[in-house]
Amino acid sequence: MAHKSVLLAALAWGLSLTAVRAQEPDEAAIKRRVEQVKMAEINGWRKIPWVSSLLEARRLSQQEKKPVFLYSHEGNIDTGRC
Amino acid sequence: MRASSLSDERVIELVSQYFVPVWLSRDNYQLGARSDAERAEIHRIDLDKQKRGLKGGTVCVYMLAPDGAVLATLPVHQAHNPNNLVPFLQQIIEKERLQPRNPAAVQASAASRKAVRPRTQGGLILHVRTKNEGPRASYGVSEDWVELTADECKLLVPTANARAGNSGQVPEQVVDKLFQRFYPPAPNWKVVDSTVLSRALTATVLAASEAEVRIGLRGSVELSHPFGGPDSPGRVTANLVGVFRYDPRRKAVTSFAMASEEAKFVWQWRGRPQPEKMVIAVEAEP
Repeated sequence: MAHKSVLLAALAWGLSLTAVRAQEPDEAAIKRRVEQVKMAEINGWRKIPWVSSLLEARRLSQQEKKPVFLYSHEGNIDTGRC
Repeated sequence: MRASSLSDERVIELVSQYFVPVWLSRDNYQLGARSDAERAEIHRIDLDKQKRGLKGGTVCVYMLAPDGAVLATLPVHQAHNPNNLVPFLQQIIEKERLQPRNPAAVQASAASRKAVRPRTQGGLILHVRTKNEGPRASYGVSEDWVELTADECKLLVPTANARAGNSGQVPEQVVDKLFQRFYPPAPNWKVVDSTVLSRALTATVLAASEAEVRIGLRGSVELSHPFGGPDSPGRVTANLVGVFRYDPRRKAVTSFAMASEEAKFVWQWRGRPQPEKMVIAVEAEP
């Protein structure tokens, strides 16, 4: 009887592991999907050598005697939440 | 603008060569507190624009002379088209008789993108990206960062003595922090307008050793987020799958990746549903 219980417990454990493996997410595929989204980012505008802040832009403008190109917006252009 | 004129090669060349370029978020969204000096400078620019009778509101290109005077403006409805912005810039270059900036000065002044680091001891930064996959794919990718504290990271792991097959629900407090950001790029970008309507995230131990516990995640979310204003309510529904690795000795998440398997954003316009496919991707910041 005890032998049968051990056998059943082992079988249940094995089935449980098999079930876990069957529903195991494909880690490599998930990482590929994450990479695909990263690659889809619009990066052209990042080629512009943006300076860190308005005050820094004003300082450099005075120093170099060049006008400031100020793109004022709502949200955050850097993160696409705009 | 970022997907249209600011990514146009002619605009990039002119702006990069002849001007000191800077962007300014009027609402400082996702940014730290604004300094008093910067606030005063913005106010001064707005008053000067007004005094000179120039057009444009908060979403606008401003050209500032080296002494700070507003030389010209181009409102967004014109500036978004490179065929308007290019001649606007050329006109200023000619009128001001500008010579290109010193390339070394340009390179030295360019800001690099700052990495987002945890503010709490043992915290984990999760980088959330969302993207439309339909007609609005040109909106690009939206990014958010969510910090989980060391205690919240522990809640991701189903049990203290994890064994393969153990599973449990990740608590709502952790899930909602993350899921609240799962809306696509849209004219309404504000996370405060997002409400998680329903959520589920099951963590299952896939393999466990003394050195590492590998955990699978499966879940779903329903999120309310307006496309624009209150007249265009929207709803995200998504199924999610992920895997993360946990170091039980360091009590730290060492890798995390999650993506949507099916995700859609349906928003309403004049009572008609506007369904759009989207994708959600999450990874841990290194």
